[in-house]
Order: sequence, then structure tokens, then C-alpha cells
Amino acid sequence: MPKIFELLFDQLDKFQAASPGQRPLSPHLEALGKMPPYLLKRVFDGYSVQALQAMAAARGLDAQRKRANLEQDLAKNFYDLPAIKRMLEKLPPVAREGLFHVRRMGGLIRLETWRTTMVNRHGSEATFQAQADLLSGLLALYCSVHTYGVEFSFPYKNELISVESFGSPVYLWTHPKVLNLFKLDPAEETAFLQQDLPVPFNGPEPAPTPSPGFDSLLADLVSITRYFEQNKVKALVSGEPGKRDYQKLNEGLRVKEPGDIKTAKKIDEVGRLYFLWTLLKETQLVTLKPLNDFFQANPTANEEFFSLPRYRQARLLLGAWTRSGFNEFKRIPTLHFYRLSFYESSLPDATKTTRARLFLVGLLDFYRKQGVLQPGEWLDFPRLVQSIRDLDTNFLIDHDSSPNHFRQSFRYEYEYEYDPLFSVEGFYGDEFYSGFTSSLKPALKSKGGLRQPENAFGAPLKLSEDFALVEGEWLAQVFAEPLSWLGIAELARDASGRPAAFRLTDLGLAALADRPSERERQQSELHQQLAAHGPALTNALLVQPNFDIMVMAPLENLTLLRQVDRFADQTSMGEVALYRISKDSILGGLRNGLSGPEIISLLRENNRVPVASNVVQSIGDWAAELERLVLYENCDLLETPEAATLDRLMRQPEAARFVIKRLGPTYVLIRNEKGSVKAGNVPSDTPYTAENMHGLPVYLDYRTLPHGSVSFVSPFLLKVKQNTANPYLLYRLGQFADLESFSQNRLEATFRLTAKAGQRAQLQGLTFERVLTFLEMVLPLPTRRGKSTPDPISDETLLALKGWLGYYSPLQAERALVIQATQSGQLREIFRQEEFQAALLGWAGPNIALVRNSAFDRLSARLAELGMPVNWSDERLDEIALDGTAPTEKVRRGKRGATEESVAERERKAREKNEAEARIQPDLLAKSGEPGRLTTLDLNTILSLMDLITAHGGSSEELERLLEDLEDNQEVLFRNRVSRKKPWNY
Amino acid sequence: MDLKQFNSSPNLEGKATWAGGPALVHQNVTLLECASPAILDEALSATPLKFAVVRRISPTVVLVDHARLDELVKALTKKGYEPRIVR
Repeated sequence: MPKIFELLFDQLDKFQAASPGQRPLSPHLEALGKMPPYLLKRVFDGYSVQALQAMAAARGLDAQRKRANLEQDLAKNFYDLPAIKRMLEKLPPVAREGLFHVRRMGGLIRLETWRTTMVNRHGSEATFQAQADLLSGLLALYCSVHTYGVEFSFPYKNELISVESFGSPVYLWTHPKVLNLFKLDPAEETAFLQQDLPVPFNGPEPAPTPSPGFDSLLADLVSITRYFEQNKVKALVSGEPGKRDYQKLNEGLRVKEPGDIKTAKKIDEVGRLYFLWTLLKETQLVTLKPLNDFFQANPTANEEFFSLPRYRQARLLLGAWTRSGFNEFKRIPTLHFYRLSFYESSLPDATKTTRARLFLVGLLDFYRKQGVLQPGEWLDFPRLVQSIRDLDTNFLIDHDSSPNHFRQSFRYEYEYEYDPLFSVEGFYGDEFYSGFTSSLKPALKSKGGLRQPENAFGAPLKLSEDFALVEGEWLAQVFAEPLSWLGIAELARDASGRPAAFRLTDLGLAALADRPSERERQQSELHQQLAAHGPALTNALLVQPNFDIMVMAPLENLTLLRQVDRFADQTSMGEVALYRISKDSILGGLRNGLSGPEIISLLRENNRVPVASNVVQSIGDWAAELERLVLYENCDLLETPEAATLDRLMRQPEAARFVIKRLGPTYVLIRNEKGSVKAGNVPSDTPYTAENMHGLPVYLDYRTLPHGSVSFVSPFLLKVKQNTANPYLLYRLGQFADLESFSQNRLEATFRLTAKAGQRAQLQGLTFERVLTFLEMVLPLPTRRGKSTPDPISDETLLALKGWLGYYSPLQAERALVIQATQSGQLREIFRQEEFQAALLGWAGPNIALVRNSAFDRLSARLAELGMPVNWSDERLDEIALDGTAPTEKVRRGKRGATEESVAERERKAREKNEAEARIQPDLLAKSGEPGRLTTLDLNTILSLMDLITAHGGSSEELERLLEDLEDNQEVLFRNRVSRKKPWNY
Repeated sequence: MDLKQFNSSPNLEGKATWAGGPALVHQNVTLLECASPAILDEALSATPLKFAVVRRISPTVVLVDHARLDELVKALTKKGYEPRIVR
């Protein structure tokens, strides 16, 4: 059984031995059970002398001593076990019940809650007396509880039956020594709780609210799990299926969501479908694959769940519901919710809801054990609400800390106190529920002379008065929806729509009792009787010659139903589930791991009559079609050098355990598991030439190709290292390179990269990137420490591979002339004109255009007409004579609007200046190499040159000119840049 | 079909992977077995299976490139040779 099933069953099994509403002991009790004397003195300091005297008298101490002595005596006697035992024995019955309730609620209970429980049972006078008895016997004392712990400070001295605090609620506390000695026999405990038993419904026979019931729930669970088996459903970030999937899930449900499901933005906005989904998640029938965020049906859990008896299925789902994230509270139709933070709202969260559900299930189980719940008998619903209130007011929403810790702590700092003038919608003060109002408690028409707004939804709900409107409505919602959907309980409403009565179904009682229901027992008997007449009569299948399959009583044969579901298409689902076999459905089943004989065998074993031969024949044929090609993924293959060796191996008794199939004289398919091949499996007398093997096989892993198994001998020659020529490695290399040499004895090879091989690879769909990835995998890792990239492939090899593998397309060439402009906008404006567009070949930069040779003359003539003559140098004119075209002169940079003469003039001046400098400082230029070759200058030399020009009266314009030239000639500055070593980049 | 025209690997066909060597365990291989040699030949000539053959070990069995498995299954299925996949 899956672990989660055990856990879910276990939490319900615990109720068998617990009282309803039994809470775990408060964590504060441990400290309260061993307080030192100085702390106890502090505790007693909070009580009046009269109270202390009564305590001393009850404990048999001298009550007439001074206060300080009394406190000291009581502190010494407080944990005295004989004294505690004596006090417990003397305790009157009502006080015993009071102490029982303190223990039931965890040993630390709010005084007001305790008093409510006690007053409803025994009246006010008896409650005060019980309170005084517990206090005087030092079996319970007062305290207040805060986030930081338990506090014993009170503004006034406490009496036995009266206590006041600084504002926080007063609690009754006891300690473990009292609780350990306080023994109740089961009859007494039951008697205490029986006062809260529900009473039969007195009104006319009510009509239950219609509900789909457990059968529909099971059918829908089958449908949903099938959807997850057959589809790949990706999880959203929230961990839920997306809108498209839950809409499709809804289509497959027997009971569809009411209204338009498309309006729901998330799955938790829909009702029953979300409920089913949370059950599937809690029972782990559907789980989330963490690796790829896809949901998958859990085959083990599904098989286990659908083979459980109905009452166990219902019990398991009941346990799953108590832990699920489905929140009924938000679905209460009479409540109107306001947006408040988690800390401000009384809205119960998942933890509180789970606690409340467990409380309710435990209470119902207690009622069942008391014999109150009879099948078919309606019980009074308001009485149930009242009983729950008396047993545990805080079972769903904490009434004790309604000025909850958050607001209490930050009251002054953040002004969380209720402001009647500028109120926060949904928050009405500490004594009210916050976050919602109820339509059952309408807002007053006017308040303090002011008219209430028309849209006021309801009046604030008071914690001390409106339990029935909040917790009562939650109970009604639980009975009307989850428990009813689970087929556990039913709710009946009166004419006004208010919940009036409830009852548990036969299945519900069986699930709580954890034993088969009456219906199940009857069916079992009927089944046995039928089997006695003829075993085939109990078979649930009816396979017809027209390929229809009928599954009788499908919900009682869920395991079989799910098996048929794997290879047949469901056409209807009701009292009989109808399926249809087709080629596609059979192929689908085969793809999911079934085999033809398995399907035929299942049909034969479960059919009431022999299966028609045409059905068997067709299934066999379809299966054979798929069996034509069988693909074994991730398997191991043993190859022996000789057939005789394998023959001897196959004869060994252990071989059958590991061998899947023999595939040839020297090949056998073996299981991919540890130990399938070991030294002992290979006969040691095998005549291996590889001397160091000693009968051991060599492993060739096709998934892991080691680094360094291949290396470049020359730019186009690859060498496979000796003994590493794995057939898969050779295959990968053979895809894009030609084999040049191969030594089968040494298992080494050389491959040459050629154009022909590259084209062959390209035809097979191989790309440059794939080849490169492969080469990076098998080439040696760099020897230098800290370098993570493999040794670079030479640029020539890379370029060739790119060319051969189609990474680069073929180049196109054409003769062209270059036209350069000072401003890039000028050229763009020119070639935007339609008449010049035909001449433009392309762009070499923002201000460099490539112009067709043939169109240049017409272009330059036309540009001259437009006032933009194209100039070229004399040297280029010589080239015109050679090829008939006119080269353009590079237009030098200059100031905008500068005339042609001024540019030439400035060039001449700069040239003269340079010559003058060369005369003055010949060593500088000598240092920089040949005159005019600035590429060899370093930055310091350039700066020295500029200083020199300035010192010799060079104008600022000339300096600027020089800088511009340097900018133009990037190579000058290149070597002066700080270059970062880049990783190898292809 | 001559597989050498699609791949220059020396191990595409032949009797032994390592002549005179010890027994070999080819680990993590993907293997395609056909019902008859004719079906395998047909599939080789009609589908891109010919590009993915690592080694033909018998007339009906070939080792195929596991890295191209998905595209291979798609191509085979498209041409009517849907394989049953055993994992």
C-alpha cells in the first residue's frame, strides 16, 4: 500500500481512541509543570487573601497565616502529588467535568469558552461552584496568553470566581502533574460528552438536497486519471493544471460544473472539479514530475485505490478531504467577503480548516459509536451546531484571540484599532468576525441618525452571538458539498433554504466504522450465489463480435474497467460501461506497454461467453503490425568474439536471469542492470588475444564519449586514439568525415575532413553547430589549469566546416566603386531618389556607398548637376584607363561647409608641418619606424608628437586635424587599447 | 542497401567490432529489430533510418543513433513503419 494511503487511514484510525474535539496538550504546559518557587510566589501574588486562604484550607494548610507565609506554603504544596491526588478524589462531579474539558482542550482554555460549555450543561451557579473548586484545590489557575508566553499579571487581586485582566482574555490553566493523576473511566467520559448528542429531527420528513453521490465521484475520478494517463498536462507555476486542461477535464465528467466554466480564471474557482482535483493530489493518484513539471497518473496508487472495497475508498477519500486545500468557507453563499490581509481576516486558512474537518469527522464518529447515527434517520441540524459550539467554540475560527496577536501587537503603532468614523471595510473591531459579513444579518437602515449606504451587504457579525451564521453555515456547506459529494452524508433544508436536518448514508457509516456497508455485504452474497451456479456468470465483460465491449457494474469492477480503458475507447458510462475496440485503440494500448496476447487473455478471462474469433484475429493482426519493428531503448548488448563462446555462455544456468534475447550468433541482448555482466559470466577459457583482459569484457558506453578520444593531427585530419574506437564514435565521425585508415586490432582510426564528406553530412541534416558540439565533446580538454574550453580547432578548419556544412552561403562578386561623403545623411538622401537607386550596389558603412561601375558616369554627371561633383585623385585616373571606370577620391573629413580649397590648403599645411617636425626630431620618427607609418606608434609617442606640435606654434586646428586622422586610422590606436583576452569564439 | 554511401565508419557492417579482441558490452545502445530482413531493407530505403544506422549486426537488427531517436521514430511512423518502443 502506498505510504500516503497508510497516512490517510492512520489519521482517521486515531479517532477510535480519542474524545471528539480532543486537542493536543498546549506547549506551555511543560514550563507550567515545573515553575520554581519564586515564580509560583509571583502567581499567588495575583490572588486576594481570601482566595489564598480558601486554597490553603482546601489543601489542608494553615489558612490563618500572613499573606507572605500563605504564598510560601502554597508554592511548596503546589506540585505535591499526594495533595493533588487528594484534591482530585474530593472533586465534585461537576468540577470533574470541568477539569475534563480543560484537559480535552489541551490543558489551557479560555475562561469564557470553558464557562460557555459548562453553563450550557449545568447552569451558572454550578459552573461558578466548579470554578471555585478547581481554583481552591490548585488544580487550575488563571493566566493570560501572549505571543511571548504565559503572563500572570492582573490589574486587581483575583478572587476564586472573578478575575479581571488588562484587556487580554483570561485563561484557565492546569499542569501535567494534575492531568496525569486525573483518571476518568470511559463510561464517565462518555457521560460527559453525551449531553452534546444530536437529537432526531422533529419536523416532517425533509427532502435531501440532490447530490451526485459516491458512484459519480468514482466515475469522475476514473475519467480524470485516464485524462492524465493519456495526455501530457503541464503544471502552471501555481502547481495546478491550466485552463484548457480543466475545461477538458470538465467535459469528461459525469457531473459537470454548473454554469459556464470558461468564466473561471483558475481551477480553484470551480466547485466539484476542484474538490476532485484536491482529492487526487492528496491521495497522490496524480503526481507532479519535478523534472519537467508534467502531471502523471501514479500507476501503483491507482491500481491500489481502484481495487479497494468501496467503504475503504470512501474512508481514504474522507481522510484526503480533511487534508485537502479545498476551502468550503469561501463557498458559503450567505457570506460576503472583503479583501483583508491574512493577519486581519477571520477567514480560516488551510491549517484551521483541516483542524475543523478532523474535529467534525471525530465528532461524527463519536456519535456513531454512541448509536445516535442510524442509517436513514434525520437529525436536527441546529442542535448539531449548538453541540459543536458547546464542545469547542474555537474549532474553526479562533474566538479567543479575536483581537488577534497581529492587531494586538501593532494596535498602537499602526492604528489598527477600529475607527467608527473612517472604518476599514470588513474590519469592525475586536469583538467581531473580520473579513466578511452575512446576508442573514442585514445591516441596519440607519445608524446614529445617518443612513446606511444602499450597497451595505450585512451588519458586522459578532463573535459571541453569530456562531450559527458563520461556523453553522460552514457546517451546512460541508454537509451540502464535500460530505455529500463523497456520499458520506446528506443535508436537508427547510422551505426558506435554511439547513434543517442531516444524516449519514449507509456508505458514510461504513466508512467511519471501517467495515463493509450493508449494500456491499448483500452484493458480495449475491456474487457468491451466482458463482455457485456458474463461474462465468460473475464475469463482468461482454465482448461482442462488432468490437463493442460492455463492462457490467463498472463501479464495482473498477480495476477491470481501468484495464479495458487502456486498449478500448469509452463510448458511454452508466449502469453498464460501453467500450469500443479499434485499431487505433489497440495500437494505443500496445504503445503503452501492453502486448497482443495480454489483451486477448484479459478479454477471454473476463468475458461471459467465448470471445468471437474475428475479434481475436483482428487484435492479433494489429499487434503483429506493431511488432514488425521493435525499438529497444537504452539496452545493453553483449558481443562475443566467437559464436561458440556465446553458446557456452547461454548454457550457463545464471544466463537466463540476464539474457533478454539472442540477436545473432555473437550478439545477445542483456538486461541493463548491475551485475548482468561480470567476470564469471564469460568463460575463462576464451582465447582472447588481449592478454590484459583475463576473460573480462570491455565496456563501450554509447552515451559517454570521453574527452581526448579524438584529436586533430593536421587541420583536416582527425585521429581516433588507440582502443577508443567505439562503433558509435566511428559512426559519428563517419557522418561528416571520410575514413582514411582503420586498424581493427588496435581499434584506432583516422578520418579526413573533406568537401565531399561535408556535403554528405549536409544531406543527412547535419549542421555546423551539431558537428562542433560533437567535436567539443570528444576533443581533448585543455592541459592548462583553469581553462575550461577545449583546444581550439584551427580557423581554417572552422571556415571549411562552415562552408561545407552550409553554415555560410556562396559569395557573390561584382565590380564596384566607392563613394564616400562627409555626412552619412548626404548619401542616404541621394540614394533615396528613385533615379539613383539603380546605381547603388550596397553600403560599406554609414557614409560609404558602393556604386555599380557601369552606372558611375551617369551618376557623377547628374550629381555634378546637382552641385555635388564627385572628385577623385590622379592615381585613380590611371586606373580608369585600365578598366574604364573612374575611381572616387576619399573626401577628407573637415568642418561642415568648408570649401574644397580650404581643405586642400589645410592638408598642405599639415604636410609641411609634419615634415618640419621630422627635421626637428628625426629620432622620434626613427623610433616609430618608417616615416608616415603611424601604426607602429605607441600612445606615449603620439602624446609626445602632439606636445611638440603645440610647442612649435602649431595651431589648434592642426592639432584637431591630427586627432581626426588618428580616429580615421583605427590601427594606430588599436595597439594602445586595453585588450581583454577573449575565450575561444567560433 | 550499401550503407557506406551515407557513412564512412568502418564498423557499419561486418562480423566483429574488435577482431581478435575480448568480449564487448555495448552499453546504452538503441537497437531496432525487424520481423524480417525484407522489412528492414524496405525501411532503410524508404526512410531516414539509413542515416542513423550505427552498426548492422544481423540481417534483421541494427544499432541506431540514440541522439536521433525522436526524429527517427517520427519518420518511421510517418512512413507506416511505427515501431513498438521497449524501454
